[in-house]
Amino acid sequence: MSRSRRVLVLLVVLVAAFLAWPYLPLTNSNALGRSDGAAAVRAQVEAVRRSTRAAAEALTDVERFSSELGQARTAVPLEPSLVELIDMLDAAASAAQLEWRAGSPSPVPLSNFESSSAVPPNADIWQITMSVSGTTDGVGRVLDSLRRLDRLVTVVSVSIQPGDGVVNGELVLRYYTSAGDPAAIEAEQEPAEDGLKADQPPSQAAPTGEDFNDE
Amino acid sequence: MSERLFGIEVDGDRVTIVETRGELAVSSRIIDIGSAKDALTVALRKLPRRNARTVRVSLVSPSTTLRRIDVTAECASSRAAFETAAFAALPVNRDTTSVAGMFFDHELLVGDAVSAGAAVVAPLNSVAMVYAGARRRPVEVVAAPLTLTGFDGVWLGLHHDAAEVTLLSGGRPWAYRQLRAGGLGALAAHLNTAGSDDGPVRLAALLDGYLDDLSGAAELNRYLQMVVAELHQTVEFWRNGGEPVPPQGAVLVYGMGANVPAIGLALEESGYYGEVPRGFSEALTHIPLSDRSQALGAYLAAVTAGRDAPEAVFVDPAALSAATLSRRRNRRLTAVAALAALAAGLGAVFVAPMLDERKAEQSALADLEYEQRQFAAVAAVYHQTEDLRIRSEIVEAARTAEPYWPAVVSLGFGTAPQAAVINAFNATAVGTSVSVVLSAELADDSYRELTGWLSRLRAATGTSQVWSSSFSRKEGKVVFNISFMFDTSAASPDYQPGAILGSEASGVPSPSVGGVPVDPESAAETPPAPPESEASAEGSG
Repeated sequence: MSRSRRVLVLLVVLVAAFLAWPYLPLTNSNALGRSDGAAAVRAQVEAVRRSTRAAAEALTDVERFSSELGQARTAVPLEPSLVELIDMLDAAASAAQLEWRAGSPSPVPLSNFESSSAVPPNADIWQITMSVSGTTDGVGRVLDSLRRLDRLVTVVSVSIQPGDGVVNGELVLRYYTSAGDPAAIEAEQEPAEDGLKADQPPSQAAPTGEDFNDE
Repeated sequence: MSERLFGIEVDGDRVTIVETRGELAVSSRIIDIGSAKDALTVALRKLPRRNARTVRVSLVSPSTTLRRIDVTAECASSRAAFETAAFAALPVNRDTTSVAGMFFDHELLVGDAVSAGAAVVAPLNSVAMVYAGARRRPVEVVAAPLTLTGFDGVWLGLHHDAAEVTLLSGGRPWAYRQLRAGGLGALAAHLNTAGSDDGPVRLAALLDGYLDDLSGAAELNRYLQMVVAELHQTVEFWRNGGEPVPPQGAVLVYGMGANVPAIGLALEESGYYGEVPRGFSEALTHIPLSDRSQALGAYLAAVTAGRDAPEAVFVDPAALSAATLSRRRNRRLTAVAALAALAAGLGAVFVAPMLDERKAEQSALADLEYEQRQFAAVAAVYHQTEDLRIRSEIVEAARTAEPYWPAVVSLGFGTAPQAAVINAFNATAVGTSVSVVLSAELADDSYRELTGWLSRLRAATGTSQVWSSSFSRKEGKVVFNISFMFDTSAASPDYQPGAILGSEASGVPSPSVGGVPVDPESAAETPPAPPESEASAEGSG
């Protein structure tokens, strides 16, 4: 092989190496050797920083935050907690002087909804029928009371049949459960260390940055 | 004091060196040690090195050819162009010959002008041998005919390696021919007796005038007659060809065979005679008479040193090869430098930014590690905030889509006429609206109460599509269904159940029904609510 040909081959190899460099499994680089790793990592840094700030803001008013968190977890628990729900419904019905009985609870499939936007995100939805008898006023009161329950309960339909002195009604109710933040739920299963509450221990899993990219 | 110059003639294995002071030859020396290369080395070693001028070496070599050619300004400026022109005129192998020449009218070579010149070629190995013998001493090797000067006419050179005839005109070699008889070396080879190499010795004796070698003398005479015959043929050929051959038969004989007495007789037999110009005789006065003819070539080399250079000088093949190698090496270095520059350029364009990027990435990773450590301290709280956010979003989404049901019930019952008996109330959430169907009956056998009810419903804010879906009379009563749609966003949660549905009696029209504002005009059309007793009586009636 002549010298000029060797030089040509060397040049071709050099150019090919430069062109192939981004595709070699050596770096987090993309086309033309320009690595987008720095930008991506910088975005992760910002995400982690925002998360830290969010946590720090929560810590500025620990009492309020703990209260809100407790209310949210009561309103939308991890499990259906049917016994507690029945107790709440019973208390509401009793206050409205209504006799009542509950139907069988069942999960609500997503097909029941007109569109996915109508479905609360990250939630499992359950349905239960509440048959009541009493007065119309009582029905009105219990409907109002349902909005004030600690547990999130919404009404899908109301049927009332006034009778001779007694009004019979049927309320179709929905209640909700959610896993919330899996890391927080996981932390609840572990011994408490530095959480806000003794029953809400922290997760030791440090974020990788990927966890925050969806924010 | 005149300049001290040296001239050398290489003829076969013999080297003749002449020292001059100006135009005067002051010494000569003939070195014959069996090898021209070694003899040249020895001769040059004796020369002074300080301020030494380039020594011109006149090369006598067989196969030397001279021809007049037309030269251009390009030939004067470019050796390659001159060589191309020379080889075009001389059909010889370029690979085995070396070319030199001279331009007769150098000053005329301007622009497209064409002038006369001469090209001479000699065997490349002979030229290389001379330069090799010179070693690092600065010498200029020229063909013997190019050194001739000082006598316009016919020159007959009887050398060891060649016998040559040169016609000089205007101080320039005008025509040149090597004779087929060959040089004295050929005669020496011919003089070798069978089984011995005594030819050179016999020749040397004959050249010194030793005449007892009759057969040798006969061979010498025969050789000289051949030479003179060829000389005559050549001169006549030139004369007939129009060359400027002098009319007289004067011939300047020089070289190692010029002192042979028989040459004069041979010339005379052909109508020629030997002649030595007066200037040469005077210039060579200090040279032994026996050496003068042989020293003439070296003398002319000394006095013409530098003349017509550089075109008259053969190129040193070794230097040319070294220069070629040097050029190649320079080209290689240039290529390497270009590659290095290319690599540096590519590095600047690609690698440097990439390195910067990687540096930035490393810095960002360090920052990320720091931030992750910071985060680890509050990770639990962060996940709790996320948990709160997710659940709060569920509550908000569910509440936003939910109608304020007490208002819906209040609207259905509160707008009903006093006399109406509601048998069924069904309301179902459909998207952001509530579809309400009321089944009722009135004792009054007219549409008036029903129309009023519908009007009140239509006047209520947030209702739409209010209609009566069925109507029939039955046992003095009218039985009908009322349907309407209610926009959930129109209801506010400041519902006061007691105010609207305070009694078990049928609903009472109100400007504000369950927090749902009612159109004042429509409300004005609505008859004022009668006392509860009246309502009961009317309802029962």
